[in-house]
Amino acid sequence: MPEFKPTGLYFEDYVPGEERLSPGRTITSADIDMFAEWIGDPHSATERAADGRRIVSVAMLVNLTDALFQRLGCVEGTGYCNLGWTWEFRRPVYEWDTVWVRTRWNHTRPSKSIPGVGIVNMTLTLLNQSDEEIASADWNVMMLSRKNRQAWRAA
Amino acid sequence: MTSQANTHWLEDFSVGAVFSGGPRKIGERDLLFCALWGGDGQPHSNEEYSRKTPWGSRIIHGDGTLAMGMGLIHGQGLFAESLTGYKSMAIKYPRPLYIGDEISAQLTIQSIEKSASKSAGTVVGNLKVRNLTKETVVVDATIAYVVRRRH
Repeated sequence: MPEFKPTGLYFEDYVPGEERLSPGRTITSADIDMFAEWIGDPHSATERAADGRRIVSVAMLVNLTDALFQRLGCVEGTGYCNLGWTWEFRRPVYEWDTVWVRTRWNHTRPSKSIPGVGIVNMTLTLLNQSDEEIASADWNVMMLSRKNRQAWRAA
Repeated sequence: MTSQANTHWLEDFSVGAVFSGGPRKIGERDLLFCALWGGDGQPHSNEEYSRKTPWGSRIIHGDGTLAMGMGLIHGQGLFAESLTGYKSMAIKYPRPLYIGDEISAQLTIQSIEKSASKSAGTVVGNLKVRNLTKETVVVDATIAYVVRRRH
């Protein structure tokens, strides 16, 4: 088996104030229909704006935000776990909209409970093609520290 | 009865009301869909990598589990005609979920704000998704729904 070396950022690499922008993703009717079918909620595929445009469910937006964030590569092999996030939703996303995630690291601190792990607090903002803020999330993520790369086994 | 007939308007909700859904058994297909929308990070999609993590095996995505939990409740038509949107969600994923586990979902109404507008108000509920197999809570989310009044 090839030996995998983490390519993500360790806890110490997160510099408060730094921002990154993810790749974008266009959301189509296939996303809306298949997602609704998978979660078992056909109603989530029938939401429409007054002008008839289809509205994307927030459950899918939470998932897509995570996926776009991951494509930055920051947590590849260095992410430990998701401590939870708090979302605010400002405006809908419609079929054919394209979304991006802007990430800003706010502050960091070592974990009190797990040695070799630190907590990074960040703000994720979901943007559309008109640069409008769709939603934002305050997120706490546990990251491995450079000081203990064996944290997987230590935990 | 169609699930639309199960629609709850703002006036139909009461604090302490509980809506339950499930069970749902989690399979490989679910992990695949989680990865499609939530990303195929190694703790979810690489069994060799996952064996070395504290979880010992691939785990199901928290975000996807939230979505399936919402599906178990919303799929019954609770908000079929009455939902106008969401204000906020505070989400925690306390414990892992594995392929083969079964989940159930429970939404408990915590507060109702009727004065937001003439046509709609805010219903805040706590959604818990339980791992029935391991007897743990895998999603603990507080969700603020914007719900229409009955005409």
